[in-house]
Order: sequence, then C-alpha cells, then structure tokens
Amino acid sequence: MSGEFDRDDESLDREIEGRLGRALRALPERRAPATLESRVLDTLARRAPLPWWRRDFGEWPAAARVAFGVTSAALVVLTVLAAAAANANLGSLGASHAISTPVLHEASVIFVIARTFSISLTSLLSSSWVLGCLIASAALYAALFGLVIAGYRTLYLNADLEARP
Amino acid sequence: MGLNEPTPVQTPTTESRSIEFTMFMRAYQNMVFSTAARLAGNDAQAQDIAQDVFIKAYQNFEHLRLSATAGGWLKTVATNLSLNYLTRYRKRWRLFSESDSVPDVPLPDGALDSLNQDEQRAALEEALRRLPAHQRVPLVLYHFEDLPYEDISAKLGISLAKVKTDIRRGRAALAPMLRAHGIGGGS
Repeated sequence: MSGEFDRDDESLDREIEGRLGRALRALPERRAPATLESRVLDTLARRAPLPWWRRDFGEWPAAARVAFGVTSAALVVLTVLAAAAANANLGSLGASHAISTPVLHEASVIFVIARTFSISLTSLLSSSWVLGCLIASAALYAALFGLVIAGYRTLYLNADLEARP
Repeated sequence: MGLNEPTPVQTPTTESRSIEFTMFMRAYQNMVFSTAARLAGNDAQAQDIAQDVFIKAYQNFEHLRLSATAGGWLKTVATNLSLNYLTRYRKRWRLFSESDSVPDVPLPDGALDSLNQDEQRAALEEALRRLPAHQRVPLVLYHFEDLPYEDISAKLGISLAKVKTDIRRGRAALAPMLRAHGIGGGS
C-alpha cells in the first residue's frame, strides 16, 4: 500500500490528486472566532456616524476622491512653481527698497537670510566632505537595517517557528 | 387596511438592517473565515480579512441581502483579499525572512493511527496550514475553489509550469497522511 505512493508516475499522481481532493473537500468549514461578529459590528458602529470626509479615503465618493487628487496635484505644482519663482526673485527682493508693506518686508528679510545661509553653507562644505557624510549616513543606515533584520530573525522568526507544534 | 390599499414599501430601519446583517453574517462567517484561513495560513490574519470582507458586504448589503449569489460574492471577495494580503505580506517581509517555507516536520510512523475522523481532519487542516504559501495557495485554489491551473496561474501571476509543480509538491507533502489513514480513499 505504501509503495504505491513512492512511485513517481502520472497515474499515481492522478490518484493522489483524486484522493486528496476528496479529503480536502470533505473537510468541514472552520468555525469563525466568536469575536469576529462583534469586531465587525463594532467597526461598523464606529464608522456609521462619521460623515464621508472623516472615513477612510477608500470609502470616499469617487468624485470626491478624484477632486482631492486633482487639487493635491495642483497644489504641489503651484508650490513648486512658487518656490522656483521666489528663489529666482530673492536677490531682487532683498535689494529692492520698493517693498513698502511690513509683511512683505519681513518676508523678504527671511528669504534673504535663508538664501545667505544656504550659500554660506554650500561654500563652506567641500564636495568631498559632503560625499563623506553621505557615505557615512548610508553605512549607518545599512548597519541599522541589518541590525533590525538580525533582531527580527533571532527574536521573532525563530520564536515563531519554535512555537509551532 | 383594506385590500385595495397599496402595501407600504418597507424601508429597513437602522436597527432592523443591523439585525438582518447580523443574521447574514452568522450564515456566512464560517465559510468566509475558512476561505481566508486556508489561503492565509494564519488565523489572526484570516480574522482581519474576514472582517474586511463583511465590511465590504455591509457597504453592498442592499444588493446582497436578497441575492442568491451572496455566498459566491463573499467567497470571491475573501479569496481576493486573502491573495492581496499574501502579496502585501510577501513584499513587506521578503527581506526579513530566509524563505517563506516552513521546515518540514516529518510525521512519525503511527503517530496518527489513534486519531478519530475529526482528529484526522484537524490534522489534515494543520498539515495544509504548514505547507509553504507558494504550495498551499495554488493547492487551495485548485481543490477548494475549483479553479483550473490556467486561472490560478493568471490570478497569482506565475507561470503555468510553476503552478503545476507547486501543486504537485504540495500534494506530495500531504500524501503521507493519505497513506497512513486511507483518507480520501472512498468514492
């Protein structure tokens, strides 16, 4: 009887397929945990009073999701364009005495300080120093990542396998 | 109410809808949980998946409550969400795991001889759960969902040859149980 399962031929494979198929289909359904029903009802109860804009993004109406996406993209584009324009006009803003309103004046001062700081920093740091920093950061990141992987495998994965009967 | 008066349309109140949905859930929760548990191989994740399935069902309950195919709809959603979970899980933990296989623990001869039918079924269920995901998932889709090899290949995004190989190896891993007990030998 046992020998027939050790043979490797197509008819035997078909026989195993048939027997296993019958055995698997004969398995009764697993009983759902008693907590499942209450979990679902609690989740639904928590969500029910919420208006759509306070629910998960996936549950928003399609039109709202599209509008949100378009608006977000437009804001990103506008921000990038504004930043580019501000950067291009920093010099003229700083040098100009035509700025009369206090708010604009304060803004121009902040822009000039920021720009001066970034220019000073760039001139202070040589390219090799920056490259060294980047390499050191990458090495530290890789070391930390490796440490996390080793910790996971040692503490979690092995413990999980050992816990299996 | 007179005979000629129109019957008022029953609009389910929130409470009656909740009761109706609870009954609906009780009717299908074992099937949904079983589908998710056999595919995911993890009861905790299966419960999360089953919860998501029923939340989706609640969102579509107006259609499902009177549908004759509600069971099929739930099974399909449970299958798809389980596969999504497995894909996500595999990507997330690929770097952290040596492999996605569970080492085989051979059953000692005669270890299952004293088991009754319920215990044999539980042992088979456990043996199925212990198969590596790349063997268990196509095996479950083939034997429980009755999907042909081609559909499994398309669903999982792997080659037809790999599907057949994985299913054959999965069967080979479970064959000792059949041999030990003559499980599935009847017609």
